[in-house]
Amino acid sequence: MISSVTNIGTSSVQAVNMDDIHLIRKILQGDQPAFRALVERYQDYVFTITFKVLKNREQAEEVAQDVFIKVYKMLGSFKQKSKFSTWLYTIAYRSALDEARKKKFRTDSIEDDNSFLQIEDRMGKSPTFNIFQKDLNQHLKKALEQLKPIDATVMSLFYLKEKNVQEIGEITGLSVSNIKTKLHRVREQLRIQLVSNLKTEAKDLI
Amino acid sequence: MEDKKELKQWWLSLDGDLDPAEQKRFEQAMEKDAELATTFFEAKTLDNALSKQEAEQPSMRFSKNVFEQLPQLYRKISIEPLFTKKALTIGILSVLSFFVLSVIPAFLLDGNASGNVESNFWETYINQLSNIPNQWLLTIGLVSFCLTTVILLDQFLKKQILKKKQKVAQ
Repeated sequence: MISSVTNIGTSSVQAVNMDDIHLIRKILQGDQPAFRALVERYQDYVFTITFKVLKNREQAEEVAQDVFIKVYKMLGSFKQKSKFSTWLYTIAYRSALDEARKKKFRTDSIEDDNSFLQIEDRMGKSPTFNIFQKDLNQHLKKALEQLKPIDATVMSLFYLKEKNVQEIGEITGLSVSNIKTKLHRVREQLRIQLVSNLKTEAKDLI
Repeated sequence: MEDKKELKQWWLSLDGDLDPAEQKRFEQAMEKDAELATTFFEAKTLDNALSKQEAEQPSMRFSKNVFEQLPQLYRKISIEPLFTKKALTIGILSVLSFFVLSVIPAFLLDGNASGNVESNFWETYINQLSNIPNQWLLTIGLVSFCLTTVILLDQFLKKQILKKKQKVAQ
């Protein structure tokens, strides 16, 4: 039985191309390569969610692994009322929140302190707007790391997995209007901060 | 719900939350207001950058760590045979015990057996069997048959399931 876990062969290749529901059926029939395919399909996104909440790679990875174990055990109870990914991310988000509560991780928001500004102040001076654009991803990543867990999760779900606000609401337990407000507020805050830093840099150059 | 007026028009426009009339008015406003157009451009640049953000990647050990736990997990949901080897041993021992317990009193009570137990063993046992009522014999026979059938069927099904699993895994 153990050897069959490592022996994935062509069955695994077939599993990669299957949709989630087909994979789930296979897993429930005892198909181990199908579960492998499901883990590989979603591991980055599940890890992203746990990391956004916990902001610690080791802890996030442990929780993300536990999420897949939970999912395996609970797969029989998945009623297909929502997308599998929505169900999976809900488990990931709640597991990460539980872990955060246990460990009392820092949950400050960018509006709660000046950490975002401090990080931006340390960044290298960009002589032109084009260079600013080139570095934007890097700066943005740093800024996103400073967001409150809930804000960071909403942003990740909205942009990375292109989940709509209803699905994000299902995952996080927040209302649609609350999510829309959060998206507006966080993005506007990011825009203002990035522009402010750019203007400061431009003035320094002059 | 928060009113649309309280939300920034440029984000509503980028999210597609403005109706056609509102979108047209917003575009017209941008044509007249350079500052608004700049703000929209900044928001759009940020929106594009956010869209291009990539998911975090766990370590290379991530999937291995999950799969290392799979054998334990699969053991939990694998179909265990109805009668394990232990149960089978207990069954055989129970039958043997019953046989011994039923035969010994027969020898003790039978005076002919006391002199030469070894040579008269089967003769005495068969005599004792003939004394058992037919209904009892029929019941014992049926129970033995059913028990043997269930054990053999269980072993057969277990082999079939294992073969099927191995085939799927390959």
